[in-house]
Amino acid sequence: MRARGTFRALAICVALAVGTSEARAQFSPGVRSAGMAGAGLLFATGLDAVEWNPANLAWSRGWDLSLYEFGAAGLLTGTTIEDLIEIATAGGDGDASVVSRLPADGFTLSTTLEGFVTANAASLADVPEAGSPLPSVGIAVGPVALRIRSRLMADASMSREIADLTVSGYNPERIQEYAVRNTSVRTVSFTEITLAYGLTIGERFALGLAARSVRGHSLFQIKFFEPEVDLEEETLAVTAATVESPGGTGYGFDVGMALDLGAGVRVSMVGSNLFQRMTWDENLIAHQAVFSDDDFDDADIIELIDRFEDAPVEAEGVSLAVFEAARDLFRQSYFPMTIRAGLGWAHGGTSLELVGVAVAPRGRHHNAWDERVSAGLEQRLAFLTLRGGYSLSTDGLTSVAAGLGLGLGPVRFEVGAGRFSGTLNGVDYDGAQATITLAVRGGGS
Amino acid sequence: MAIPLCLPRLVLAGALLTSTSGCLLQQDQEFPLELGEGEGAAKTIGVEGGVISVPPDFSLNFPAGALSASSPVTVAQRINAPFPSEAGAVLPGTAYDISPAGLTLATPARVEIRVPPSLLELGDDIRLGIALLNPDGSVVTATGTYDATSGFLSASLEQLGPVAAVVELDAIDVEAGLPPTLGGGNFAGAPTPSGGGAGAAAGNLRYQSSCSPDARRCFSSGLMSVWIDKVLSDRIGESLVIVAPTVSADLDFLTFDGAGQPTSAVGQIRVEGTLKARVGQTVVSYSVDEHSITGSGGDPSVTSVSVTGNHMVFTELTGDTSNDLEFGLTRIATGELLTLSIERKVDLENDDGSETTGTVFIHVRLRR
Repeated sequence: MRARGTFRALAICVALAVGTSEARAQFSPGVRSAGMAGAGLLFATGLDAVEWNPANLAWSRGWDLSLYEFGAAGLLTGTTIEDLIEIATAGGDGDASVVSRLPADGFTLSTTLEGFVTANAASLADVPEAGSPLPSVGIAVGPVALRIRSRLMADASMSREIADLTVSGYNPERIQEYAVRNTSVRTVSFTEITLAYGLTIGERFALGLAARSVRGHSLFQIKFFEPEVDLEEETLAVTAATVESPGGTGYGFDVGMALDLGAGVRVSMVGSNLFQRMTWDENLIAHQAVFSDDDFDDADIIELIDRFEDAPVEAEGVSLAVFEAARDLFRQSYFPMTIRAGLGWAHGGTSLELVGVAVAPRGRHHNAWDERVSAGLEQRLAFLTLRGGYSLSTDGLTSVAAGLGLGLGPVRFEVGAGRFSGTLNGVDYDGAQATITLAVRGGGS
Repeated sequence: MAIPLCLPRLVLAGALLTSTSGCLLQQDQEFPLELGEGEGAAKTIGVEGGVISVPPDFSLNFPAGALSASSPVTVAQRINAPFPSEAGAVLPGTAYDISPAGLTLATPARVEIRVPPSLLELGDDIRLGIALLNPDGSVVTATGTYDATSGFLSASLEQLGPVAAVVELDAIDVEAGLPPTLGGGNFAGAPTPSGGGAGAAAGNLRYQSSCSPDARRCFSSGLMSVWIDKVLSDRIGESLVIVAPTVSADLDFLTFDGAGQPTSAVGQIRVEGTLKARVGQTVVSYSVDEHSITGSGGDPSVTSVSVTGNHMVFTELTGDTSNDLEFGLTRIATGELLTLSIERKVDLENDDGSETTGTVFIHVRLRR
């Protein structure tokens, strides 16, 4: 019976990682594209153009100052948002049918979250922060723009057995069934500072360039190991090991093109990270802790986290647990090359976009839903802007999104949100994304 | 779907091709925790403890107080010298020399060796141990735990020296189910060393047996067999062995009744070993130490015995087992075997807080 606490605590640890990442990320850069299910390449202007197509800056007028931006997105693979909430809140007395709906490999949650707000929220909650990200702000003046964006991306996996423990509680009669398996968490936190410039070549063609400096704040992995069982006492002990690279530096270059075909029709293509480098600090910091029943009975979550003592890592002094946790830390820990291409039509206050995004197979720092085809519609009605969109990714994931913009003089408040869903090979997808911004614009659009 | 993605994919392929040909694509950053091929580790470990490792396959964790003073410790893969085979089947690539050899630790260190599941045959995982080669050439095998997901074999180490992961050969398979019923028998039918005839009460009958990993092995001698009942096999599975089994039994029947059955005896039976079971993805250990001594405790003393059918009841038998032992006598070419069934009750906690009792049956064979 004493082992009940250990598994509860293990579940709490994973749920903490899952829970903190639940509110993350941006579906794609900018509130406009978030409301159009990932479309937004063709007619993005001002700061939005920095990441969608710097060529559009060539046709931007006036200035654009971003005061606040917060985006969050989470994609569940193998379960649904409702079932995740049940798993996270069951406390050992939940609905067992939730577990029966999970695939054999358990579930994963991929998230992205605005980094600055997250770091401050973590600080307030007295949980570890992922570095010191800068706030996501930016300014665009005519064809030149500077944007600072911080992000925290995370992938958390929980085995079906651990989910079962969380939902139904520890049962010594089922001791054979419990396994940690692939339960793990990986996070990366970074700030990008991007300087972009757009110029026209002739009347209909525009070219854009963006240079990006990346400051990595933290690259982190945690791995749990199979519980050691004491048959005599019927107790369990679980080892968890984490490893962290406390910083990194990198850069990347984007090139964008846009061609107006007349009658409001435009074609665009952008290559992001056509050339890029990301190097993480090799002075790794390890954390290892063994959780036993006594540690966890009625333990405070902060106490559990505090058990992870920092220790520097060296090749001649690393436990196999820490080594295993670190093994894949640097594998493709950089940004993939991405090509976006699209066709759009705009007339008056209406714009329609069809965008395809292809992501290079190398480079892990991207969202699971990045490679997709999106169709989006934007309609401006005086001070109001309405948006909607639909996307379909290559792995069966679909998204439906909507957005709303409210302009009060130069001040614009905008929100975009959407829902992921889909099934591929019997595995369910579920998720959501939302972005809100507050910006001041003037001097044209 | 295919058409809108066609263009960006085509361009991406071209860009990747261009980048590759120009060596512009980023390669994976070098992992800083790898040592060179065949490279060992050297480190000074203080009284505060520490870890020395040869990643990715070996680490040794000294807890605080394991060493009484700072000491240089080295670890290197053992390549040239073979590891003694009597330790068991040594798994290739898992032998390491740890020096200073022979240094005794005040508190055991935790050694971890990576044993990929691909090195193991079916059933090997529960027989895994870490063997330590002592300076005098003897080998001690420590049982430990095995994480089948990560492939980590770990055990406690009380002394430094060469170590290797081994599949222990001296292991008794534990069978699921009830043991065969022993047939009892009449001691009067046995020849007595003092020359007494059948039914005679003259002279004692002494039955003995011993086996251990260091001498005559229990596995090959057949002196010990183990079963678990359904309650236990349902709880902890059917893949179980007892590794490093030791039997030390000496039972001297002193007096007999008119039917030739014993009425008093003195002696003891001791069975030791480590029960290993695969629980979920982990192989775990359970120490077995059954010690039954005639009399009220301490040294063996004479106690009364009565035989009814195939049961032998000792008036006083100190230990965890019942004093009512099922027995069977078997004539063999060179003497006689006395098989005793020792039962050990194990209480298991249930989800509702109640307890279920399972039983371990150990048959020990003593010879006369």
